[in-house]
Amino acid sequence: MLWLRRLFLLLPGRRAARERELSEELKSNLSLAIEDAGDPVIARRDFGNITRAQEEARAVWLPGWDAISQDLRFALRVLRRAPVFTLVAVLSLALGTGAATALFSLVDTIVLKPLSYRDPEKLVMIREIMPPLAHIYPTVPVNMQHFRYWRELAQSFDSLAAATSGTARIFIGDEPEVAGTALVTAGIFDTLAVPMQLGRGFAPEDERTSNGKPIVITDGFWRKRFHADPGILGKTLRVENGKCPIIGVLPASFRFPRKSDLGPLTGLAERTDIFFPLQNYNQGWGGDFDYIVFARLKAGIAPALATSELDALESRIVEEHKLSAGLRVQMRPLQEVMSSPVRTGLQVLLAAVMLLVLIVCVNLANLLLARGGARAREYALRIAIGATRGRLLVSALAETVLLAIAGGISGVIAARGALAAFVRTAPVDLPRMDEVRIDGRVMAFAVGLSLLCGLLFGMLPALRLSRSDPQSVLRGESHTLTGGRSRLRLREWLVGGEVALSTVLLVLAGLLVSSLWHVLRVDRGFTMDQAVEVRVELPSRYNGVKARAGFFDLAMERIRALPGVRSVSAVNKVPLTGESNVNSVRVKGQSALDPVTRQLVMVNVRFIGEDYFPTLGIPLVRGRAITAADRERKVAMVSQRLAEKLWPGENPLGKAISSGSFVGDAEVIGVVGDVHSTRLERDPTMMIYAPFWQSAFQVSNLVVRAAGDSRVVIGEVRRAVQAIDPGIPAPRMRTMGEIVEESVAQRRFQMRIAVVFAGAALLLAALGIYGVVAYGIALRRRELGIRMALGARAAEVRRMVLVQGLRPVFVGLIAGMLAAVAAGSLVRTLLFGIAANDGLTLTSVTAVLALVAALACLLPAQSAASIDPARVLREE
Amino acid sequence: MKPRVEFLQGTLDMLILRTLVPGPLHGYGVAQALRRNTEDALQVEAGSLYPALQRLELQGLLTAKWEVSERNQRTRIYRLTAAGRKRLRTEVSKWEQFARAVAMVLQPKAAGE
Repeated sequence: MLWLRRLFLLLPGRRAARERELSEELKSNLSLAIEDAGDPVIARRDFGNITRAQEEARAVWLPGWDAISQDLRFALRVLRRAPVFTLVAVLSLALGTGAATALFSLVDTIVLKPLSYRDPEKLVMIREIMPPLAHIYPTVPVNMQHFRYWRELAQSFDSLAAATSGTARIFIGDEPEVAGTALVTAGIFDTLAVPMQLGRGFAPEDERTSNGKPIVITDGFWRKRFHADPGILGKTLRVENGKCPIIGVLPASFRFPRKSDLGPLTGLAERTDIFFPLQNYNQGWGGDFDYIVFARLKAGIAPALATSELDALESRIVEEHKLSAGLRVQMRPLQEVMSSPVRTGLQVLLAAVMLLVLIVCVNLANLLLARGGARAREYALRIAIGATRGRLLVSALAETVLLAIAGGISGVIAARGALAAFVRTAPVDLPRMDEVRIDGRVMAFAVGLSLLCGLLFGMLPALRLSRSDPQSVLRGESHTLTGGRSRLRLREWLVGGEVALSTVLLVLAGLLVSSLWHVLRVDRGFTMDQAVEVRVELPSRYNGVKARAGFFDLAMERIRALPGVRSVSAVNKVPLTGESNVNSVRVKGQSALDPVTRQLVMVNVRFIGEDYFPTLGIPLVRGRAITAADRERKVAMVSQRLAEKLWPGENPLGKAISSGSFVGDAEVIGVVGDVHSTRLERDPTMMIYAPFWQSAFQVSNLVVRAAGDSRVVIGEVRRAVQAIDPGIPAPRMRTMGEIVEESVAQRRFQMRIAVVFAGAALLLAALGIYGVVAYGIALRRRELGIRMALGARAAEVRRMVLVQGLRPVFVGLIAGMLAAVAAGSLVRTLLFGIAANDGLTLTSVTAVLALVAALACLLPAQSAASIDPARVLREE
Repeated sequence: MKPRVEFLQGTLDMLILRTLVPGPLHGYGVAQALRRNTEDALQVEAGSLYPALQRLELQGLLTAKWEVSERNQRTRIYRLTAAGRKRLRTEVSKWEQFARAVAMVLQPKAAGE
């Protein structure tokens, strides 16, 4: 309580009000005393010392405050007298803490902060391992029958739950809309330990169709679509053709993992709004690895034990159902799964931020040392007239604390801006990006970091100075040369260190820039100019392949007739948007296993319309393309890599292949160029192309190549599609250029941050170099004046200053290069197309640093060369 | 004029609290009462009295309010709080123990009887 009241007194204005009150009280009581005594002199004497009363009262309110506030006021005056120094110091602290804070809050949210589920350390995600597939997919999602078997028999878990995604058209009024949905097993919200905001979660009965189709919705969907209606329970939502009663609303804090959180093949929506109970699963025991499985471990059960239990169950499944391949499971903590896609990248950025903070510290120490030189006389004088070392340290402390607080606060402000920019420019698949914000922890981090930097490096010069001998300083400035030299040497070391750290950052940035350049130069296999993806979601009344194919045929005919369109085609998935329809391939009359590796050959199947290859600019290598005439025929085309894999050195045309349920003994009629389907960094996927008329999917894409500006075409295409059927939700359109850009967004993001950090480091290093050289010249003005008086030419002086100024730079540069090459292995996974010791990158970094350092030295060198010897010598 | 008595640490606080037991007083009134009750032996300096009042108020043992005194002068009137009364009781009992101990040392005979 006492400290609370004291804290209250620290608020602005409170103390002044208290003082006013006390002096009024004293005045009124004194006048009472004077009235009593009749004689003001005697009354005053008896009353006592009013000034002392006030002083002592102040000490009661805030003990020690007077001395502190005096120090702070003095420090403020000192700082205000040196505005350039103060500005540079605060700015560099703000830069360092701002960058570190922004990144800390990113790392804090994505990696460190526990998931918003209760006891997240007990939550695991389970996937299956199929040894024949392991060379392509180390793990796959889970088969529903296997899941049910585990759920029935496994003892290691409190609960298990499975989920998979879907998209469904919902109707708000009569407007169709596509919503992200998930099909989940009963008890999933208990497994994740999420308390319902309203209503209930799914019970085991909900897995039976007899119970209708109840749904649970997210808080966001409830607020947006139902205006947070508290009486929502029991109301229905129109989904496709049926009405679904709403039985529960999830809390605002709940977040269902997104597709990007869990890695490939997980089949979750980008954002899930509506949960359906998983009903009638009629899949078999062999394929259909479609479900992500969450489980909550029983208390005291280690993941390894649970894994071995499930592995035993898997062996029984293989035996009982006579599966051809073995099965095992993989179990990973959900927390780790959700942060691992970005972990390496963030760790590198964190290291970069640490380097930047170090540079800021070194720079600050350098600045303070330079000021220390200028203030040596002031300190000596204060020591001479009796200030103790402790007293000097306290006043230096007050200065650095003020600087550090100003730096920390501006750092938080800078971090807010930086974070907003981060979040805005971050690729969509950076996990948990929507949770990133500046909170108390982050603020404490910023101010703490700033204080640490300030105290650690700000106190060093003060310690040095307070130890100096006042006599020698005060006796003559002409003797400071030697003392200055040793201080100068320390500062040269610091500059060398700063340059070394900046070199490491510059090399990192250079490597990332170069990698992105290499990625974008990869032969994509298609041309992106003027090509547009049109994603069409057909309502469920288009059931049957004929109806859907009919729609796409009509749409293509209409779009082809548009004036701005050069060609149009259909495909189930365009390049660079991921794998799909992954199956093993079998050549007629051969085993499905590769004769050499004895493993299945896995391919992607794309169902395409006429003109697909010219529309995306994919070259036809051999044979002919699929045309409308192939509508009823079993034909297929293969990509070049697949042709070489299946028939090395042979003519693939005329061979028959099968893959999955839609390609059976199809005749190979053509070979086309390879196309990247996942990421540009990965090898192109082996591909089979089959006519879409035989398997038009519910959700499919049209691809359009515009004759002119693709953006003009987008509107026309949208109108053409909706003119055919107004019940179709507005198609989503992206240019292929946007798709390529999205695929490198994360890489571009990392590169951008690294470049910003490297730029900041370069700036700080330049400041540091300039500061040291300029200070050195200030110390040596007399010496330089004498040299010039004795005949040294301006050019010689300039060269001497340059050479001496650049010496620590080159030492630092070499050390930094060595460190960067040594650290290169840490960033290897982020690089593409170049080695960590890439010669071009190292040379350019050297050139940039040398140039900037030379510029930083040139200014003071110029001022040294323009010293007028006559004036300098007269100054004494 | 009698010599002023130096206060032991903490004693003044106890005396102020005791002085306020009969009823609320302003600062000058507290000084007057102390002086009257000790027959001028204790004259409290403003430099000690007012900081002590501030300290007791800060500790929540007293409350203060601006009121018009019986002599028609606006001034700050101090009142004992419940916490203040409690503190006074403990202080008084501590003081009595101390005084008894001192008395036993100074007058061993009286203690031995």
